[in-house]
Amino acid sequence: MKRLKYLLLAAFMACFAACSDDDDFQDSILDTTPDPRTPLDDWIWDNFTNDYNIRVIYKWKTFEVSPELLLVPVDEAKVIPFLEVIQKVWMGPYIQLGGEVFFKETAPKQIALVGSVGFMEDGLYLLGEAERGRRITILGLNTRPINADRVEQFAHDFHHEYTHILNQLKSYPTAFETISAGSYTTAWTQVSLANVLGQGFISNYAMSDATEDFAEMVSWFVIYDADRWDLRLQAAGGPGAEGYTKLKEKETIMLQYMKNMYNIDLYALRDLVQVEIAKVIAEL
Amino acid sequence: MKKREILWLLPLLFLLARCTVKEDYIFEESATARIKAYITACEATITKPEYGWKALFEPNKQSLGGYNIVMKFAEDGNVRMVCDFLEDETTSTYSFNESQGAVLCMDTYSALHYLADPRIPRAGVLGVGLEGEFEFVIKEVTADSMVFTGKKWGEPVVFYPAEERDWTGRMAAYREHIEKMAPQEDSPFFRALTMNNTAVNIVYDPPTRTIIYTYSDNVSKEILSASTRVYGTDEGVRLSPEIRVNGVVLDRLRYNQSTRMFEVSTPGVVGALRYSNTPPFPFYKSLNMLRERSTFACTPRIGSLSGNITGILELLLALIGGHSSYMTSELQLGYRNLALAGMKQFRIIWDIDGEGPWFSLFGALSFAAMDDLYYSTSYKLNMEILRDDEDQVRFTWANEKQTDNAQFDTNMSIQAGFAAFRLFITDPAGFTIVPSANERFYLVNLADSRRWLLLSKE
Repeated sequence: MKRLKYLLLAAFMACFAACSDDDDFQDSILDTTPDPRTPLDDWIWDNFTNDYNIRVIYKWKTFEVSPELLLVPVDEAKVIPFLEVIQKVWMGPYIQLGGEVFFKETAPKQIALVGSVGFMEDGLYLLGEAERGRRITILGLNTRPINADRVEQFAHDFHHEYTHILNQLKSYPTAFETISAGSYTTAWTQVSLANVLGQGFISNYAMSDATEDFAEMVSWFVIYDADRWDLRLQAAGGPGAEGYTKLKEKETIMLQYMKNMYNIDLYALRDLVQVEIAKVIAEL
Repeated sequence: MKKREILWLLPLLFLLARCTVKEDYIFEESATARIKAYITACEATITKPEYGWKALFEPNKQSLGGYNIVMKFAEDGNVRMVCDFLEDETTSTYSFNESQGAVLCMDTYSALHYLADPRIPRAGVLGVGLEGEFEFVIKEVTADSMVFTGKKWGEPVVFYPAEERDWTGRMAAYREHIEKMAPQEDSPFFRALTMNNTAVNIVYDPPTRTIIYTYSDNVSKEILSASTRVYGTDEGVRLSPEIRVNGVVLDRLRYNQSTRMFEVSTPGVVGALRYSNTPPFPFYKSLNMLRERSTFACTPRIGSLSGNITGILELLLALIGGHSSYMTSELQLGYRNLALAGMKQFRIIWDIDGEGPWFSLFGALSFAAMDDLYYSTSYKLNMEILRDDEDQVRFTWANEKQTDNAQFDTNMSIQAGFAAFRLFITDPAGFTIVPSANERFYLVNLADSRRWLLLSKE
């Protein structure tokens, strides 16, 4: 038995010997030369990459976007105006409440910007997505110039996707999923808003699945001021109605999750976001 | 016994180990090193011509015309472009990468991306674009040409060295001529292209750079339609495939600056392209063509107007003019008004209970209706055929209606759009029925050809 062990060891050593004829290490054959930096690259470096380790992808890279969608790159002139809005209505409030460490830990490491929206076969189109807790893609920037309505829309899109990132890093309570279990549907586009609210969803898209439901709750909560949020709940039937009750249950879980997991007070976040949205709109 | 069997395996292991290092490579360098060298050579070639490269993009030879572009690639990674489909010069960046072999990629937004942009509506549909490309798989590179295939759609494209004049006037001339092919605002409907002793009626679609032409066969009198693609030239436009009608072949038009008219420049053919309020020839028995094998002719159907997101998107398309190629401007407002009230389609129904035709609206109880039940309300029309060629008709109101839902009937009848459509259809002047491609037919007002409606057989 002992002799067998030595023989096996010898065979193992021979395998290494067989590999010893490899060429000497040389310089990488891959082109590692960085692209020349433009003023836009400098701005991104100064505002996103250097401090927060966020890479902003605005140039077309085949494997950075979905191959199924017909997309075009973002117009370079639209990059900074969009990122400035995001700085104010998303980055600033979260840093102010959660602190730099929290933000660096949770911020997406990549923000990809795409010029066109992602038209899909079912007639809908994709405006944003979050992946693997590390990346947010925002689409349709070429056709969505920044105006008063759009600031709120961009803020909503980004808070929605960032909520996915937070959920991907730390899951929300499973109790959230039980509130509307059985009501999520792929036919969410075929339902009117009144019906959606009546069933306890804050928006049509919230009806698509529980993760979208949670992201829609957070994003609409911070985008709407208290009065508009309350109006939505009233439109769900008011106190005692099924839709209202479910939305309040979801609201409670959402508030607790953000407080317990990230020490973020969503009421305070909402106030900060409201102020920043108003400021951005005023500066347009 | 078992131990001895294992010992016999050992020499075999040595053999396998030895096999891994003595391979003979066909190439002296690795694939990565070779493609890197190839890309370096491409970079050198693409930046070399003094005036850059020019290319004719033909994204789809079935349904799209040609788009010319001239590009100057700089060593700093920037590329300037001038083209015949956008007025302004663009500057963007380019790079090479390896995915399906060596690939040239215009990686920031440029003129080329305009052709690939899905936001450009095509035939009333968003999300398709003009099948443009901005990533090109390199197939062959010489000093005189660079041959690529588009990465998305796979169509071949060839870059040739450009001349100074491509930058200083040629693209602008191409664009100017192409733009002059577009119907002038408020122009008469008919555009007769006369060719010796025959004529065709053309309908030009600017985004796709295509023409649908209709003509009457000399012998059979049959009304036929075909399509051709349009390309800008120094003098005017080129048509491919050529128009072949009644023995006459035409492939070029020259723009005459003094007469402000396109004239035929194909040798041996005399003619010109003119607007006209009257049809260039009888559209013989076009009424029969419209009625045969179909219960009704209709506007595009708005798929699911029931207050949901899909419906809102479709309505949005209607509101931004996505259906403007289906009706004259006077009807568009009324169409939106009816759509908001729940209409999904306007129809002329040829026969209900042995009688007809009928002016009919089809749709839901309201835009915000939750159900998918569709209703119709139909008003009987009297139809008078105005000449023996059976291509001109007049409709009058017969004061008789049928509906399967009183509420839908009321909802429709009180709309301003209802009155607009009714007045249009029952205009005392009547209509010429003009066949187009794909079983579509224009109703063109006889007194004012700028008033028209495009209906499809369904």
